[in-house]
Formats: sequence, C-alpha cells, structure tokens
Amino acid sequence: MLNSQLWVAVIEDGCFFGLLALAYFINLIGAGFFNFAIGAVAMGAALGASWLVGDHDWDVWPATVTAVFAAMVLAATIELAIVRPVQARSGRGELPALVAVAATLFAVVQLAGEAFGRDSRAGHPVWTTSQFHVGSAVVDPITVPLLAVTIALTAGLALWLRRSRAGRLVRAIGDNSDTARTLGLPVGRTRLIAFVIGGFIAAVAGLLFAGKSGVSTSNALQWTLNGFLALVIGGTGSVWAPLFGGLLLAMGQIFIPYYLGGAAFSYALVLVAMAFFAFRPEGIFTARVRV
Amino acid sequence: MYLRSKRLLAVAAAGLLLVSTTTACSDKNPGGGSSDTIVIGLDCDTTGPGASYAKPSCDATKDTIDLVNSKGGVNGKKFKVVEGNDESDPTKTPTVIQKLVSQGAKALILLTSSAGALQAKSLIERTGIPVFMPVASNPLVTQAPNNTYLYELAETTADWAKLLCGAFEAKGIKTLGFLQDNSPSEVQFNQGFLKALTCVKVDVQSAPIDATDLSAEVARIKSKNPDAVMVGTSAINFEILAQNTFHQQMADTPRFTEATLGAVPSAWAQAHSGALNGVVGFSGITAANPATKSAEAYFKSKHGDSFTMTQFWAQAYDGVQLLAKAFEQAGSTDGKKVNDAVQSITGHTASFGYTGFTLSFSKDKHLGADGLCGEVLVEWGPDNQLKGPWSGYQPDCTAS
Repeated sequence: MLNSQLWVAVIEDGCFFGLLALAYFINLIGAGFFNFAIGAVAMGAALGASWLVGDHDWDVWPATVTAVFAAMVLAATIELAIVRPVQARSGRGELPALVAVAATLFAVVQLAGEAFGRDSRAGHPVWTTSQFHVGSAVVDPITVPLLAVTIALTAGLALWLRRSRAGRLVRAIGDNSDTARTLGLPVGRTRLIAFVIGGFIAAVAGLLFAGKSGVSTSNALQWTLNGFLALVIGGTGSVWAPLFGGLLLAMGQIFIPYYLGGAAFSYALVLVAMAFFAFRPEGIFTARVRV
Repeated sequence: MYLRSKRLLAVAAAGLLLVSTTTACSDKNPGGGSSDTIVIGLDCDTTGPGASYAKPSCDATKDTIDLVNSKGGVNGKKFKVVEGNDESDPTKTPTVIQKLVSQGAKALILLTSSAGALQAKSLIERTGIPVFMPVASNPLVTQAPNNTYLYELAETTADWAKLLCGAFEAKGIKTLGFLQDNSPSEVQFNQGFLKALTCVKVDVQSAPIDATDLSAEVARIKSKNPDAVMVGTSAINFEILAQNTFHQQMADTPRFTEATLGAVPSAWAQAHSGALNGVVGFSGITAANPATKSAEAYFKSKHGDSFTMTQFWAQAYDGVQLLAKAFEQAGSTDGKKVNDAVQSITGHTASFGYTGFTLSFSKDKHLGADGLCGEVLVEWGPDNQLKGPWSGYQPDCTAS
C-alpha cells in the first residue's frame, strides 16, 4: 500500500468508475432505472470525438461538444424510444426494460463500429497536463483533469439536486413515480432530464478516460460493468457515494492483483459482489428516512 | 427507495448477466458458387478481440482477391468470397467453418485466433479442402494430427523465440518480465512461445484483456527487477496500455513486444508522448524488399498514399496468391487435388521478410517459411513511429 504509483492509478480509475456510477446514480434517482447503456454512451462519445478529430480534422473542442451533445441525444432516445414504451407495455415492469436497455448496449456498440470503424482510436481530451512527478510516482496527463472534473461534476450535481426545483423534482419522482404521477408532477419530463444528465456525465467520463490509452467499441461492456459495480459498492444514499464506490473498486482492482496476482481480482470480485448483494445491496451509503 | 433499490439491483444483475452472455455472429454474402466461380470462405474476426489485426488482414485478402479477379481469375474462373465472423471465439469457429463450407467454399482463409483453428482441426480434416491461416503464428496449428489441409505462412512463435534468444544473448539479457492478456486464446498462444524461450528466466504476469489499468501488474514485474520486459497480446488497446504503463514505471528497461504493435500503425497515436521509444518488436517488413514494395504499390493504388504497409497485409496478400497458384496448378476445384497442388509449391517469393525470403510447402511441411528471415526486429522512435530495423540485433539474412 506504500507504492505511490499505485495510488495514482487508484485515483485515475476510481474517478472514472465514480463518474460512470454517477451517471447510473442520476438515472436511478430520477427515473428509478438502471441504464445499462451507460458504458456504451461513454464509449460512443469518446470514439465519435476521436473520429471527428482524427478522420475529419475537427478541432478538439467542437468535436468534444458535438460528441457530448450526441451522447445526450442518445440517452434521451434510449428513454423515449426504448425504456418508456417497454415499461408502458409491460405494466411498468422492470425486467423487460432492463433487458431491452442491456440489449441496446450491444446495439450501440455495433452502430458505433459501423459509424466510426472497429479500429481502436486515440483519445483527445480537451484538457491534459504535462506528465509530472510526485515523489517517485509519475502522474499522467489525464490524472489531474479526471480528478478535478469528477469532483466538480459530483459537487455540481449535489448542489443542483438540493437547490434547484428541477433537482428536487428528480429526487421526489425517483422515490415514487406512481405517487408523483398521481400528484400531477411532470414525471415524463423529469425522467428525461435524468437520462440526459446521465448521458452527459457518461460522455465526459469516456472522453476524459480515452486519453489514457485510447478507446474502442470493446470498452463498452467493461465500462458498463465498472460503473454498475461502483454504484453497488457505494450505494445511492449520497451523491458522493458513487465516487466512494468507484475509489473502493479501483483500490480492489489495483491492490489485489498487486499482492495476489492478476487472476485474484476476478475471484475477489465475485466474493465482493455476492457479499454486497447478500448483506448490503443498498451499498455503503444509504438514504436515511425519517419515520 | 431502499426496498426498491434492493429489488432493482437483483433484477438488474440477473438481466445484465443474461444479456452479457449473448454475442454477435454475422455471415455475409451467402450463396454458393457457380461453374465460373471458385468460392473462397473467409473467417474474419472483425468485431472480436482479434479485430485489430484480423480486420486489416481481411481487407488485404479481399483486395488481393480483387487483384486476382482483375487479371482474369484462375483458369478462367473468378474467386467469390463468402464471409463469416467467429469473433476469435474458439467455440464459434467450427460453426463458422461449417457454414462457409455449406456455402460452397473450396478453400478457407482463417483470419482469426489460432485457438479457434485448433478447436476445429478435426472438422477441417473432414472438410477436405485447404485452409490457410496467413497471419497465424501458432506452431500447433500445422502440427499433426489433423493437419493434412492446414497451412501457415510465416515463422511461428517457436522461431520468434529463436530470434529473440539471439537478441537476448547479444544484449546480455537473462531475465524477462512478460505481461500478457489473460484471454484463453492469448494464454494458449503464449504458452508455446514462452516454452521455446529457454534462454531467459521469465516472470509472467497476466491481466484481463479489457483492463482499465495495468499499474499493479507492471509494479509486480518491476519488483523482480528483470533485465528486459515484453508484452504479449493480440489486443491493441491492451498493448498500448501496457506500453504506456511500462514507460511510466520502467522507462529505462529494454522493452520488447510481439507482432501486434507493428501490425496496427494507426494505434501508435494512442500511446503517450514518447511511450513507444525504444520498443523492439516483430515486423515482416523492410523497405528494401522489392516484393514488399510491389504489394505495397498495389495496396496504395486501392487506399491512397497514406496507406502503411504491415506484415499482416503482406501475409494476407501472399495467402491469396498461394491459393490462386494452387488452384491454377490443380486445374480443378477438387479439395484433394488443390491440397496436393499446395504441397507442391516451393520457392514462392514472399511479400514479407528480407529480400529473397521464400515460402515452400510439402506433405510434411505445412509451415511455409523457409528459414528465419521472414521476421524483422524493428524499433520505435521517440515520436512513437517506427524507426526501422533494430540496430541491436538482426538475424543473418544478408546472404538471402
């Protein structure tokens, strides 16, 4: 645990997993739904921006803005064209919509492959630093931007949920959409906002992390699982819980292979996942309800 | 919220597991051949973990088939392609092969994981048609049993080991840290290579093929203080992540890699600034070989001047040329006759390797390479671009 280079890796991966989990989080509290296409949205945004920069000579900023906007549209489309109709037809059942969205993940992967090519591509984050040393550890160009953006986005979302009317609506409707609908609250619009914000956060995460070693369509499923596990570990009781879960997941992913070898994390992951599902499915942070 | 989250989590986990087990498999261009065509079946991993090298090889194969057809085909018949995709999943390879054969394929070109070919060896023996793996390097593919119809072109991993041992001895390297992805096909592929690498003591570290970080694995290698390190993977994302991490933690340690990095020039831009500086890897391309230049000129006519020739393009090119030669010599599409014709090819000038490097086959020689001069050890420079042949060591190919 004294190897400072490994802690740099924990911060990088932890922030990335935390951002993906934050995208899940806003979907969950705003729409009561796990959007398993999050990893594909992140991958699509990073691949799309790289395609615009690499193949069409766009500047990084316009390519990034376009990719983020496209990711938000994609997230909105998932809600409007897939989740909402499937839930409506299945009597607001959860499994059909979850399976449909998980299938959407694979569809987005194939579409991204057709649109941007199957080749792996370089990431083009809008903000990187020069590589520098902290003690004996080397800090890569994406580490500081990833950390800063993760903290800023999480804090911003926390403020928005607490202070804005739309944010309070998101929290209220996610808690119980049937009651909210009975009370005449704008459930559909609020769910859509949650999906779009989730798409925005996922896109930012993908764009930043692609600077580490590139992006390809094969990243989507793993990124989806990483975000999901970070949320499972962190829980939904606080906006900061996804980041906490992401950092814990990254610690496991870095330190378990370091001490026990590469295969050990796979076994540990099964044990940790089973332990959380069995004993603390709500994650480490839980919402407190006053009775 | 609590109960709802709990129930959702359980349902979500079940749903995700269910859907994550589904995979895609596509087949294109269905239909059999006719009297004026010879159907060639292509198994191209265009979407799986080997897509980084298989897709360019597949493009090169189709381009070369176009070239053969543009020159009138073989014995008045044009090649027609039927295509499948096993996604480098050995469990799917037999199904894809069966589908291609049922579509009338008279020969197969497999551009996928060699683990898939190994899985399908007995099936291939029963199909009775020649099967080329132009870019494969696993010696087990062409070894008995069930190798009557199977062919590879370039040196296998056993030859890579011989070459590297020459280099290691020249540089005084006695211990090697080896980082590989832990996909079954890659582990199997590297087993033969590492077994043949008897000149050094190897510390092997494995990590998931889709790892987001390799700091731990590289730190473990670093703790053993090896004389050199090496990356073994067919997944280009893993390769770049590994090179970035080695550059970060062990910049001064001599670094080697297998053939993937040299085969995917577009990925070099993914590496951090200077991260590939000094990396030595395998490539079958030298600027001096006129046969390579000839193939390169053809591909440039199809893809423009920005096209970069790699070993896999050259080997795929040769695979089609060899098949065309075999069909021509057989004067028939009968699998046995074509196979006999393949085994009569000797001294075919290869489009890769050093000038004069040739490929020959016989009943007992299903690996085309005539000697070790089909591989060139190349080195990357500080701009992450290929500098050319490594000045540290080269096999003695000056005579050829």
